[in-house]
Amino acid sequence: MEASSDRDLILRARRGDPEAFGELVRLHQAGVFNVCYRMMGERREAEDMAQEAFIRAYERINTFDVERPFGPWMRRVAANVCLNQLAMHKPEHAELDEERDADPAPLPESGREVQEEAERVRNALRKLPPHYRAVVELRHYQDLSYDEIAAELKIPLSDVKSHLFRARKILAESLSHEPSLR
Amino acid sequence: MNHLSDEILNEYLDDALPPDARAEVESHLRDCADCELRLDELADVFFELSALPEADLMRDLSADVARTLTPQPLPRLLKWTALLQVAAALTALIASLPLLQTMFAMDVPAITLPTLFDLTLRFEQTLAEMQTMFVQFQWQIPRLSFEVSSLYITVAVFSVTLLWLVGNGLLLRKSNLIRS
Repeated sequence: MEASSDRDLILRARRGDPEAFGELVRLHQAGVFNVCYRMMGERREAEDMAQEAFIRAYERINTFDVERPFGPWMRRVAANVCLNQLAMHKPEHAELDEERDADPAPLPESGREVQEEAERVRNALRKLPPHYRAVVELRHYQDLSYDEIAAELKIPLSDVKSHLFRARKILAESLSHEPSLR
Repeated sequence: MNHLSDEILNEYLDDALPPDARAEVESHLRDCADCELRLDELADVFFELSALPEADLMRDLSADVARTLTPQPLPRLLKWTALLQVAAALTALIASLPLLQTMFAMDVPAITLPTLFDLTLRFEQTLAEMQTMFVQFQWQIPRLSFEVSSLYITVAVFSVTLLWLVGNGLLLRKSNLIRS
């Protein structure tokens, strides 16, 4: 149902209907934003990158195979957009803007615990170099195989493996320094 | 006993090992507490990553994306300028038609495929002609059947330039709409 709706919207967007593409954005923006949030580590920047990813997707909409699901393709585009952005503007230390990243409403105790746990993992992800973040995103959150990651990032298979293994080592160290609340 | 490498443990958890290698790893893990402990530590990282909840998106991005992608109407002045450019280009093109007609009305000889004997014969003839031609040769500028005034040339150059500008303007306009 959802796939067929995506297909229709894509075909309409190809014919130059911006409303149809707007509807695609509404359907997929949450997933795409989360890819960008994990990659960029900062909420506002993630929103900007998600927007940029949709614009990039629109530019390439004619090359997209409508018989394939749009969501996974869109999330891969988002990961690539973020990787390019991170590679172009390498921050020395990804500083977290706590005021901007703070949730608007106060949370109950259990909710705060979940949020702190999430922040702990996000902090660990922020410490990874851009390419390591990208392979972790594609492997753990988009469930791509080693070969698919190599094709997506245009890097050798051996690099995919080494990036992934090193990334996990760094993550294990970071997470062990900030023990879980659970 | 040789312990399992980090690479093998990673590939085991990623389900990237062939069945026989996977069976070997499992057999080793049953007997090796050290490797089992390392595998558990690595599996904890997998668990922590998978437990990261999806964050809520605080604003709707579709409006901003749609605004970027919606074609902005051309300013009135630019629209009239573009129309005038097109009209001028077409007028210039029509005015230069006699010149173009003359240029393209030259006779083109029909192409026939000669035999090898013909080719050899022609080659010999050409050599002979060239020997006499180099003695008598005089460069002559090709003449048109009517007088080419500077007006014709100016009009032709202008029409091509205007067409080029209008054509490029339309192409650039399309990419600006997408990126603006």
